[in-house]
Amino acid sequence: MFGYVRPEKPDLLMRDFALYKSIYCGLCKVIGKRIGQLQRFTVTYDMTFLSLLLLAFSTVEPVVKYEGCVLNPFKKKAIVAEHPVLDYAADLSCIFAYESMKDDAKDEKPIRGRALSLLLRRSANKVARERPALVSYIREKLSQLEAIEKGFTIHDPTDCFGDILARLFKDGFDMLVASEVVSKCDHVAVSNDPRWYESEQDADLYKTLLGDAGHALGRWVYLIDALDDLKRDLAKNNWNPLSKLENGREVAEKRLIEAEETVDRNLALLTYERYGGLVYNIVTIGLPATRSRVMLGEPLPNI
Amino acid sequence: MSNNPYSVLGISPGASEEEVRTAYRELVRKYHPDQFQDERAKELAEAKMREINAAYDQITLGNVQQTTQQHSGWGHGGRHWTHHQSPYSNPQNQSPYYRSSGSEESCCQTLSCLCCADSCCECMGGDLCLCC
Repeated sequence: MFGYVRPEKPDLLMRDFALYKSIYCGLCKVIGKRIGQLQRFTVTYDMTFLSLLLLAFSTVEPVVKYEGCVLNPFKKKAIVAEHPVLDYAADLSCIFAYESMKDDAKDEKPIRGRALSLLLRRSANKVARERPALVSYIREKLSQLEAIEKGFTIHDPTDCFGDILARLFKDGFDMLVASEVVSKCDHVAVSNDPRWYESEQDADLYKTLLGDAGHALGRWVYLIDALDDLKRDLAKNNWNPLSKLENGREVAEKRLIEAEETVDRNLALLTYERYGGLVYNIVTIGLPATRSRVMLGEPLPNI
Repeated sequence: MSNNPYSVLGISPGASEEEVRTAYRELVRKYHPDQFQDERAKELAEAKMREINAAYDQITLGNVQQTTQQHSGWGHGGRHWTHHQSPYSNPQNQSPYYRSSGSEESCCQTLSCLCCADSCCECMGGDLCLCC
């Protein structure tokens, strides 16, 4: 279900591409340190997006350092150094990968799913101990989703996933606010735009807009994944939210466009300290480009 | 907030009337305050709408100074999620690499230079390819 929220590389400035890579590599490194070296495969474009979106509002400039990588130890790359936002995204990467593997173990890929969920179980439990409220919320929503898929309830599954992402965005923002002690004197107001550190009302506004954007993005991710799997699910007679609809593809495309517009609308009202171009690229160019590729059945390119 | 009306509407200064109108309609639809439930978000959207309307009026009434710089609200230190269109998103119109007349001209110049250099080399009893 992951890897759909990505930038459109040909439309990125080189500068923004380098920033994106530095956050991606930073997240990968943090997963290695915090979760485990073997678990670094859990890094995703989606969690990179969450990291950069939260870092975009940080009042402290992220520290960039140059380090080698397991894949290329002799070439030093720019990476964003450890930051509470990256810790948060690393924990979430582990939890989502674990839940996804558990899901795979149940039906689609039993051997691979079981092996990888075993590898991730210990770290996922550790994360669950460190962030109990968030992890239990994610698990509760995922089990609701499973109940919908089994036909026990008739709720909209997209809303379920939307709720998860809304919570991730809002909790992430709360965590960022809590981790930064900002003195108003440190900042010179350059415009009348609200900044989250100016007042509690402004912080609330940011949280609301991020939550709404997260909810729409969650719906988008769920639908694009369903659309991507539709052909295969129909062939294998697996459950798919679009399979029962007469014109499932058209309905999905319409709802995807609506979700893209909602994400854009909400994120566009916020004031960014940095990474504005990158967020803009991902939301207004990356999401529609991914939708078009999935609609056409084209593979998604690597970044 | 950007003062350049073109960057507010996310279009290039050479945009046609139709492009201006389309961009304006799109933005009005997107930022209409009724699209937001939160009261403060509505207020923010209203402010955005005022900015968009002012930019549209400025462009359609022809009051825009041609000296306004191409502004990127998304740059390195860019603070706003304005609806700035990336200059690379429509390369045919904006990137110098895609201007056919310019590229043909420079191609002709390069070939002429190569031809001259080859002739000089041959006059001196050499060969350009071997020299290189």
